[in-house]
Amino acid sequence: MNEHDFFTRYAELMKSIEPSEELVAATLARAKEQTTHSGRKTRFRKPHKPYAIAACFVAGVLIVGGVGYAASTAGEAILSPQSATQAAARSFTVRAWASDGGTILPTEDGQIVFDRTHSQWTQTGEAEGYFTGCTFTVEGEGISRVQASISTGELYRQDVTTISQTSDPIAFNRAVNWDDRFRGLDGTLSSSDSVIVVKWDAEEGGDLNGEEPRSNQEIQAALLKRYGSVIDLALADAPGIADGTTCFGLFNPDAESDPLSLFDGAALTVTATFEDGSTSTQVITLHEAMFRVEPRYADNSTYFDMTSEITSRIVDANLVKTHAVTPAENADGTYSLASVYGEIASTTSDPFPSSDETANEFARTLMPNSVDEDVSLVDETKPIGKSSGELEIMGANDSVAAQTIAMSSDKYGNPHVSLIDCDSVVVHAPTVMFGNEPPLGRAKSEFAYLSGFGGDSSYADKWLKQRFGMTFNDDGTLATDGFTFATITIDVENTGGADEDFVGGCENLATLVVISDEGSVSRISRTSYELVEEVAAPSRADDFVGSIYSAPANSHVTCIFAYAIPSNFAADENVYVMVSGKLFPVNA
Amino acid sequence: MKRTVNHTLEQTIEAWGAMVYRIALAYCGNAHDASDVFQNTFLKRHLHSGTFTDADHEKAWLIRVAINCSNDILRQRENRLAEPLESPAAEAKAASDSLQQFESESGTAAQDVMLERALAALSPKQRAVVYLFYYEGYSTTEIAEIIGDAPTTVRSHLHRARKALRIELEDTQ
Repeated sequence: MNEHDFFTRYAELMKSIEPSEELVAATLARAKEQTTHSGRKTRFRKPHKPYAIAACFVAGVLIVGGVGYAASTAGEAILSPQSATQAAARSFTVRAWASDGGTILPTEDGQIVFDRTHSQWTQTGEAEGYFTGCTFTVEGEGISRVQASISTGELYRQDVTTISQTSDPIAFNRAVNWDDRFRGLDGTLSSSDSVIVVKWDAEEGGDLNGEEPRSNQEIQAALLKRYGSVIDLALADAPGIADGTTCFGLFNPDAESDPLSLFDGAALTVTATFEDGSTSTQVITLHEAMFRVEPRYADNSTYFDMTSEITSRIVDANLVKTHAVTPAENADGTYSLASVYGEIASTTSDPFPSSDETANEFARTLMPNSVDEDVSLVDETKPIGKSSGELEIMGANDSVAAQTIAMSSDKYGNPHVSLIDCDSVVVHAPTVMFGNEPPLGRAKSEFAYLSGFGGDSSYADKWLKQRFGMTFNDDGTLATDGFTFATITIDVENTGGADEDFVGGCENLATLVVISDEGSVSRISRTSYELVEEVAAPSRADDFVGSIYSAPANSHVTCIFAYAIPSNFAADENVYVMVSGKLFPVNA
Repeated sequence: MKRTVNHTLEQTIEAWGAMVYRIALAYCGNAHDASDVFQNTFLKRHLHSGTFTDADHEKAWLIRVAINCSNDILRQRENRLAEPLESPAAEAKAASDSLQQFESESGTAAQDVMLERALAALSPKQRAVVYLFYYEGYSTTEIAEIIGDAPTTVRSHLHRARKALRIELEDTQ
């Protein structure tokens, strides 16, 4: 099943699902009842200024001592400071941050509350674990080295850097569309396990994929690197420690577990070494809890933007925990979110207690791609569930009606999609040419598929090699043996007197198939997207289901598509081009 | 000038009722819970005191509230039943098995049944993301904005769903 088939079936299935008239009537009746008897719901407060995701970095929580609980109403506990712990010879501060730096935490309550309310809940690929978004900095005068360890789970390093779309477009695109397969590629992000955009300069959320994207945009990206259970960084190797652009986070290496439960009861040990050689060590006990969050609306956001601000108020411990990024709404209309807070168990002038040997275990080892790395050379063919006896074999002078998708929308913009026969648009017998020369003499940089990778040739090469076990040379020739180019030329004729649209893309118009000795029909897997897509017709951009071309009245439209396919099919007399469910011989 | 929309509840349900119900059904997996989500979502809309700048704004609001309400229902269900959930691997296998059947079945009705089974084997969030991406036409970045997840997480959901459904990718999301 290709995506087009899936989409068609799926759209039909969805269209068949409607709420019943009884359900609608009952809902309206309940609404009327609510209006009559219960009045309006309590409003959330609104900020005085429109919220912008690009909030500046602001201060977090200062540790001044341990924390305890003060009794409160409504089954909640408020974290409050206990007596100050003994002072170390030199002091430093562990400061908890939201991953995007855009939150304000209480400054006087004496606890570390890790705010992860801003959708920085990054789960890495399958079986890899969680970058939890619970991050902290280590701040103090004259710090020359930071060491940290955690008793369960691991730590990651996070460096925030500015990336310009103009001066570093590849890094910009990779950061915005981060994919695990970017790991290890050359460039700015080469040593990152994951990347998150934490700030961009567009107003009100910065629609990076908007209709009019800005060409000179800058973003701030957090580069995440798993380090292991012990981190040891000298200021010389991580100057961002001094200004807070380098921080540390809690990493859960078990993707099958609850993301935060692992850290409940864990001991986080942080040691700062100062320029005079003295040390200060804090042991912080971590706890998982559900915190009350204050929702807030964005006045001018494009979408309903219920961002939230975590508070130090722990909600009823019996309340079921949720580990979602989105705060959970409670029965009383309040919101809560699972996070982690820390209590200082001890502060001493002792050196770091862990062995140097275990430090930075994964600092130089990138996490594997979440995408299967062993799928190279995917099946050369895929059965389509038909036998040759079910499909009519056409002659070289035959033509078939084009099948196309009709898209429309109602007055509210709801999509309506249906498959229709376009009787006035016919597809004449296609021609297929095989060869080792680059199709239409194109160089690799001119291949159409690169645009789908944002021009990121390194990424495209890695993707092709990983998935299909092949790549191209810069001049467009094949860099891998066992493949050949297949160039399909399709003549689409509109025989009617009116302009007609038809769905473009070779996969929709024509498919290369092979018939087995047993008579089953299988599609030949293409080893890349279109290398060449030449259509002598205006196309209507529509990234929903693919390009839609316009065939003017009484005209011919020539479509040329080229792919690389396994070369054994080039001379196979059982290879056909399937158009609208009918087969045209290729090597007859 | 800033525009606002001011639909009556009837108009809102007419416009977005099917969408909300589909999301609820995708998330909860049964009509009973989906009906509860439907009612709760539109009651919240009825009591919502804010304004919407345009129809897209209102639509996105409803999607998010529907997902929040669905999450609430799922949590309540977990509390009630305390049933262990299928592991992601088991879900993926069930989806894959159903799709293999799907591809081997020739009849349209049978294929629809198989497709429903394959979708049912996805996680609630995967189903919601698939719906928003394939049917509503939102980009993964837009979905992330609406449902409050990181874009990477949304792409991860979509990737896993596609993998489970064995959709051959035609794009480079």
